[in-house]
Amino acid sequence: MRITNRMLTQSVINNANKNLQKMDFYQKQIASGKKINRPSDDTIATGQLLSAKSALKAQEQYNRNMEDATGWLDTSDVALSQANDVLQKARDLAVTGATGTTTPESMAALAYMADGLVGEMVQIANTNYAGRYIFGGGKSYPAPFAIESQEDGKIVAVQFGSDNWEESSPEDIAQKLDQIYSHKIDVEAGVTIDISCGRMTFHTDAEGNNNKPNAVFEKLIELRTALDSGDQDSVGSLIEDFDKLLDNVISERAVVGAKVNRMATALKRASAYELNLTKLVSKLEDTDYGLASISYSAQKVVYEASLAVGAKIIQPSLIDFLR
Amino acid sequence: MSLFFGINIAVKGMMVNQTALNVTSHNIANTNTEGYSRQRVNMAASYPISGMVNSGQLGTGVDIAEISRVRQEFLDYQARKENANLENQTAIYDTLQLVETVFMEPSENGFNQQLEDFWNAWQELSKTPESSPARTVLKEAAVSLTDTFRHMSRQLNDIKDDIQSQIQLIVDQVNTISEGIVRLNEQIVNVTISGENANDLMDKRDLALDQLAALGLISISPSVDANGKVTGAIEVKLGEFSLVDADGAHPLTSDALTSLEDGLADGRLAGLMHVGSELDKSNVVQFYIDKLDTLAVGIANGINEIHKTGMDLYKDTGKVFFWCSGAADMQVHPDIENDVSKIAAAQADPSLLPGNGDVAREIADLKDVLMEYDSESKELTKSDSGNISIGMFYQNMINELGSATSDTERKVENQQALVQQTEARRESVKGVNEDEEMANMVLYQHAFNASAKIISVIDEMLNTIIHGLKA
Repeated sequence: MRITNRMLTQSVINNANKNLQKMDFYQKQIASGKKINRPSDDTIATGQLLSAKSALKAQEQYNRNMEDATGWLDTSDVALSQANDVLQKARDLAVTGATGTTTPESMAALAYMADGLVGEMVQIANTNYAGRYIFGGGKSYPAPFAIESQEDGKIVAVQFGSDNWEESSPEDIAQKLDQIYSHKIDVEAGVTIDISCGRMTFHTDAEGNNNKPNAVFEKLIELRTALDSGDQDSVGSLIEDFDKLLDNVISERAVVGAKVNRMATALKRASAYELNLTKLVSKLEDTDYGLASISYSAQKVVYEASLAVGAKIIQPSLIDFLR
Repeated sequence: MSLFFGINIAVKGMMVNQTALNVTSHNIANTNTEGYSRQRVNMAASYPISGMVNSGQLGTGVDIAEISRVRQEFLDYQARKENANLENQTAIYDTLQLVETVFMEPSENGFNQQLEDFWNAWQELSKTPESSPARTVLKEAAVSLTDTFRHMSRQLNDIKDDIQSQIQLIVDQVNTISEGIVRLNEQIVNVTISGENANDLMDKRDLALDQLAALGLISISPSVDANGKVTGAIEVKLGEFSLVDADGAHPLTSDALTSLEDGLADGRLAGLMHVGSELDKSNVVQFYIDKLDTLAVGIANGINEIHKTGMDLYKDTGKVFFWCSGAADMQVHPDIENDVSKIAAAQADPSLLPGNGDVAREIADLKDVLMEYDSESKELTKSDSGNISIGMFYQNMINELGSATSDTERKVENQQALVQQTEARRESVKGVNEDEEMANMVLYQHAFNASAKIISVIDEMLNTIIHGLKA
């Protein structure tokens, strides 16, 4: 092939440019720290990267959800164990009150203590977690359980919620309670956990009816009233009821415990998954600095060589040798 | 036979070689002139005379037969064809690169991440529906999502508008070049009539044709006169449209261009018209505008549908969350933007307010709901037979964009190599090689010197005759 001066120049320029482009490629990788700066850099990796990053973001959210759920459940468990203590104390009062040797003065003192237990129970039922009441549907205001008391401070009744329960049928009440005691949280794609509790502890009576909005409080007030009246027989008949109520709390605590365990296991699995995703994202998008800088240096050598040769190849011509 | 006859031969030799040296000089001077083809002096022995010597005809020296340019038309054709293809692909590649810039993927601030932030904000709201901060965070995420939609849509439309103005510029360029070709045609015809080669004018015209072919692949045919004789002028056609013919230049108009669309085989114009068209193809800007609209409407409708079933903190229900007829006008409902309490996070049951976040959770779950894309109506809707989530729809679009861009990039690279090769072959024939010209220079110089020497010898001979012969 006949070679002309323009061809030589052109090919030196083309090659130098090509080498420069390759250097730019590695330089960009090193400077940005990313292997992929636009989708066309690596189509397949971009696809994987986008979905891995989405999954990672979603997983971070699920982890936050699970941590919140665990906090909520832990708080609930503490509250339920306190409710358990109160009921246990109430049962003890009933036992003491039913004993024949108890004097009327002691009965009055026991009644006073029972009144205190009602107040304590209301406080427990209105426990809050991060500004939200954990029982009664997780409202932030007003408190789900409200005390109605006489002028001398004696508690007459405890009302749950603002609904007019007397006018509803037992079925409607049960359904409404179910609706209120539902607080679902997403813990995985398509998997939810209902973290609400207290439905059984506070709204199920000694006969196992789950449609009594004020069941526990009614029973405590009944105890207080019975002690007040000094009627040892009716006090004695309440012991068994408190046993049943205690059973309710224990079963509910078992459910909460199971859910806490489930969250702990799920969190462990999730953090392993998250770690894998993070690794994948890093592998896909982060610059391999060693490789990139070696490639850059290699490319630099080639570039400099092409310039050096170019400079030499263009210089000589026949003119240099004609006298 | 007189001695002066020999002087005449020598003078012709000197003149011809001097002309050849001039041509050599012209070649060297134009070594770097774009479009220049080297010129050669074809010498021929002058017409001999008979009857002067008994043994045969006597030569009378040298003449210049012609000064011609060294060039192969087929190589021109090849170079133009490959270059037109390169320009076509480059126009597409440049545009796709711009489109890639619009989406800014993969990055920490790309749409993909914003969409995830948006879903996460719904998750947070579902856990604390009565919390004003959670509502505000969601509102901000939604506003920034809609801002991004509008921004991307505007950028894509800007790219499309820019393509149209580029096409207009190119049409003007085509017309200017055509007029130049007509003027060169006239000059070349005049020179050709007198029997000479219009070398430099033809080089200029070929260069103009190179430029024209880069804009749109043209077909060239020599023009003939009434007798069927080649005049030296050429006729140029862009597809079916005649740009230059015997009547002169015909300006290309936008209308003519529209009717040409399919007839444009290659060239920058063809590439720009392709990316700027309304076609439903992955390397057309409109394709991405449509996909973005589909996505915006799909998200807005999907969320509105659920949001309408929910109840806000004022116990209002049946309200939409987004206003959206496309990516260009997507926005969060102004009522919600002004008052985050109007986000309907709860089930439509006033007694469950404000602690219920079921509707917010249902919206957050839309992230993984499979939708169906109807390529006919370009709608993304919830469907039992669906196979794609909202996020996947976006990711697929980015994948398509990435493949289209890298495919075109590869094509451009390959085509560049091909263009360099054909260009090199063309240059190899027509380009000036300094060494060659230097060698020729030496050759012509020596011939000139030798001719001059002969004159001096004849001078001596004449001297001998005139002064040496004394009676």
